[in-house]
Amino acid sequence: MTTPHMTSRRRLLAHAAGLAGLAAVAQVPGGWTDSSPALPGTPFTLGVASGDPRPDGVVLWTRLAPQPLADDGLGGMPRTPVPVRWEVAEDDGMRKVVRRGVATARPELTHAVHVEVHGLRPGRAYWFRFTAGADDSPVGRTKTAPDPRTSVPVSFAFASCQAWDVGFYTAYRDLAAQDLDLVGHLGDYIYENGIGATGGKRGTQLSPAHGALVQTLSQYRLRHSLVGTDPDLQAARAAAPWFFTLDDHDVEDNWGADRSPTGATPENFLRRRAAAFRAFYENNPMRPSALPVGPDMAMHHRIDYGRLASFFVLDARQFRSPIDIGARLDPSRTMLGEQQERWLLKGLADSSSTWNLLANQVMMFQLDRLTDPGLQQLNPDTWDGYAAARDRLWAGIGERRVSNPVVLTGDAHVNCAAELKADYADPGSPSVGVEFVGTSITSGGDGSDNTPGGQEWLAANPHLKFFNNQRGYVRCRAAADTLTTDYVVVDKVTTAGGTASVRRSFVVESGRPALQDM
Amino acid sequence: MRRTFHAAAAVAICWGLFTMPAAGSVVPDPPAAGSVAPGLSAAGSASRRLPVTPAGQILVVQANLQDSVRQADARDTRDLDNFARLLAEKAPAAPDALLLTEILGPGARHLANALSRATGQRYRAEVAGERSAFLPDGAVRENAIILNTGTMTVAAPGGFERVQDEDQAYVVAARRDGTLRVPLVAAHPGGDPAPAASQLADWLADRFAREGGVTVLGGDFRAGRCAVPAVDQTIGCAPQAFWADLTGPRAYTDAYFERGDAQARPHSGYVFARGDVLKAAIDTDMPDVSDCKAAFDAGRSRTADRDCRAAYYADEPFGWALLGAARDEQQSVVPAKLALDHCELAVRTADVMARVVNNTGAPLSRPVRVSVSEPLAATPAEATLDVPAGQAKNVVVNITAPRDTAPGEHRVTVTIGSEKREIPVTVTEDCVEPKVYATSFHSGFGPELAVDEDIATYWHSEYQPPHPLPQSITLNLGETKQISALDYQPRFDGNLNGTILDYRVYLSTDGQTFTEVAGGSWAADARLKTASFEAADARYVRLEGSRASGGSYLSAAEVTVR
Repeated sequence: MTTPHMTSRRRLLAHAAGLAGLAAVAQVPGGWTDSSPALPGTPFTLGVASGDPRPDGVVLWTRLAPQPLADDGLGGMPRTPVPVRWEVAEDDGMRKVVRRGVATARPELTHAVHVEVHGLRPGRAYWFRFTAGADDSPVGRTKTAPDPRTSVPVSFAFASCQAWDVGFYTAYRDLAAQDLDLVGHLGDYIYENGIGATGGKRGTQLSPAHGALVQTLSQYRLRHSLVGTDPDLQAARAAAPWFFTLDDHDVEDNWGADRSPTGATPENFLRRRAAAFRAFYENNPMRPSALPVGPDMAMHHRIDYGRLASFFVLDARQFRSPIDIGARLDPSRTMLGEQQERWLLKGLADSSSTWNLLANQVMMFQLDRLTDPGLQQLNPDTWDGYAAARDRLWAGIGERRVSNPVVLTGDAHVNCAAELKADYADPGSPSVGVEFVGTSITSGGDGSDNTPGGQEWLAANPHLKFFNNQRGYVRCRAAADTLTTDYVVVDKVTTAGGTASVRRSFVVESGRPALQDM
Repeated sequence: MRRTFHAAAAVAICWGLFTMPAAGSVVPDPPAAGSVAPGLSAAGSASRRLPVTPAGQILVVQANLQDSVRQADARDTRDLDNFARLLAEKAPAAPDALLLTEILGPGARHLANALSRATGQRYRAEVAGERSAFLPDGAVRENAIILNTGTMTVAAPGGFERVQDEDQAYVVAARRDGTLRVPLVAAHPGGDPAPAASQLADWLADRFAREGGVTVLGGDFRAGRCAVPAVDQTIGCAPQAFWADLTGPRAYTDAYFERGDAQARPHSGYVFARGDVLKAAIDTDMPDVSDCKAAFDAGRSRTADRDCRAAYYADEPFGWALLGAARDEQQSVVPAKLALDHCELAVRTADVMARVVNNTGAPLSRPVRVSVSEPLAATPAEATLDVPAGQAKNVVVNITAPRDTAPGEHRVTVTIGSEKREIPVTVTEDCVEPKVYATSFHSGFGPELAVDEDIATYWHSEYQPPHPLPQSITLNLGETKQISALDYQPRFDGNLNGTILDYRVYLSTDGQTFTEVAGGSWAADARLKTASFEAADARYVRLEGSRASGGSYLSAAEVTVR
């Protein structure tokens, strides 16, 4: 813990550095007085993060939680508002502060702060930190999106499915060391299962409060706090701005719209969904406009990176029709909901970006799990279960002559790379896009490079070019002519200290939706 | 004058409802006519006046109105108007208190007015929420309490107690005639009902220890009585933890279970009372309204068909309970009559529960004897209920008869202490037997999904908490047939979890003795698997899995024999 003496000295330095342009840099100028209540420990146990980068700013996040695993999910904070000072600097030593302000950490939001910073320069890295009472947070790095008129290559990574008790976040430790412009999380940030007294593979003592099925707001808050204490995850969140969408386990396995697969009434499920969404918002650097209203959260959004890349972050959970594999060809069914589907197609039509990246939860390409002729085994939960909606989406993409549509996917706990086909029944039909399915951070355990099931997938689906069953994340670089993708895998997650390596790399040439080896 | 006469006449007509003697209960005296009509009536209302409850009793209504989480739904009040009208038609008297869940502040006030008009009484929303169920701090407030201000008064101010991030409504009410006090809670757990019920009961005991009277905990507890959710809720099922806790050591009585003839119905609404339940019912003749809900939820009830517009209030039935002060010892036998029309593995089976509530300050012990005559059998035939002070205990007795028992009338004699009760038993012509059994299943993934000829649905054995293997699924073929193969279709949804890898097949003709006929290993894929064996007679076929893909659980999309 920082001593008061050191802190006050550091604050003095920060003041001094900022003095020259104080009026210019302060979004909430003046009136900074330290009225923080005494806290039972350092409040920055959950680290810092940033999100949703734009050319002129980002969202900065932290949450005050001196006792992050307090059973009530409130982080050991008193139920009073606490002023939290924030600073953005051009250097990692926090000497050249360019923006600063004071945000209020409110008990209603478990003392999370979501600061929308404006007035930054496009396409450059910044460093930021928070101060509450006598404590400084760790310094985080973030980066603004480039100027919309420029064609600057974009380096990004995406991850998903990080069951905390199943293993260690070794993949995040590797991700944190990359020089990234953006990190996307595609869902299953938390899992709703009860975690035993020794924390599964983590071997950490946990209170009985972690052992129950996660259903209430306090429980979702506690689970996010538990996941948020992980140092590797904190390092990754502090290394680059993130974007988020959520998937089923962030609420309940296989939910869709207002439906729970385990028999809860729609009303009870919507209250559960409201609690899950709220805890998700509180614990991630999302725009304040994403704060859920009751059981609803505006999750789909767009992030533009200069002239090269646009990310369309999708919500394939909240508006979907009921699961019914028998009705997969029914055009009245929807995966995204009418409004989001219209928004997506309009956004794709308007986009002048070279690469249009659809970040979504569930597999887009048709995956028949069996080689048997005349027998298809498809997953009702993925786009295969909503094949008519998929056909409609890709017909719309084709009509709008969208430049280089690329799908980024989580959920499946395996790495897959596939070419998206105009007609999966006809192997000779043209490819219309490509899809990169990224494996899980931990879910599924150590895994193996291949499996008999994976071999069969490859044999049964000629458009599937790569399968791997290890844990890790996916790293991409979108440049003017190419999109390169590295599948980073770790050799083990069930014990700490695994090693990361690139298992396979692909390159996609602009204008040619095909997966080519590097 | 005319109005008073009308009300008194209505009481006389309805009084029959109150005088049906519930086993062990004291038959109440009719009220004096003068106490019936406090002279309150909704302005301009020409509706009939419902009678009011007699001194020493209160009529509590419980309803989950599903009118809070969607704003458009909450604004559309046709369902509340329907509820008020149907309640006035179906309740045996003017309700004294309503314990409501899933209703907002404006809805509760609207309902109080509608109920005033429908009953000729005057109702007020004593405790009710805001315009949204979701509070700024993320908690939920959608419980409410409405009182009949003609019969009830607020004895101690109400409010909300937060449990599982949900604000539970409470108030201490009392009859205006001073004959009964009732601490009331409208409860709706936000998560697992067991800790919620325990927390609420602790809080009630602590906060209202000196209030006396009948504490009433009513609301929607999210779950049926039985721990394993099934359409058929047997008396002897392992109960949900919250139910066992409230009706055991905490000495509450589940009104619908004991007096509402609702034992076998799956429902999640309850009135738990620490007092005497004189009579109770849930709205069993609710029309089939499954097609109404979508329009009402969307706030477009005007687009629903005529029947929906006339009758829909929610897809959960409301219920009511007539309650009186606790007696020192409350004995009950549930149900009041039995039908041996249900078979399990070739045996007719039904349960009887004998229960003693000890409201005294000293422990008491009551022997329970259950006698039946052949071919019926009772297990156990004898038991002792040792009931600590201020608690309740029960014993479940299983009544069985062979499946081929001749139809006819029998009786079970249940003696608790010195009190003897006769329970009529009917052996029916037919005996309904499940098509399939499983050693366990996860909620929403019952064994019937493995015999529904739909490859997209599947049985999944319980994994929360983990259940050790082996687990099994047993088909009931309905008659003895010669078979020589079992086909197992693993789940076909792209996930192999639970796909059986090491299996055994057993056959039985009588449901009691099972003989192993096949065993082996299957590949971890979703292809159809077959176990072949020498042709043999079987009425029951069991597929047991001792190793499966993914972990300690089994799944099956379809299991068939040939």
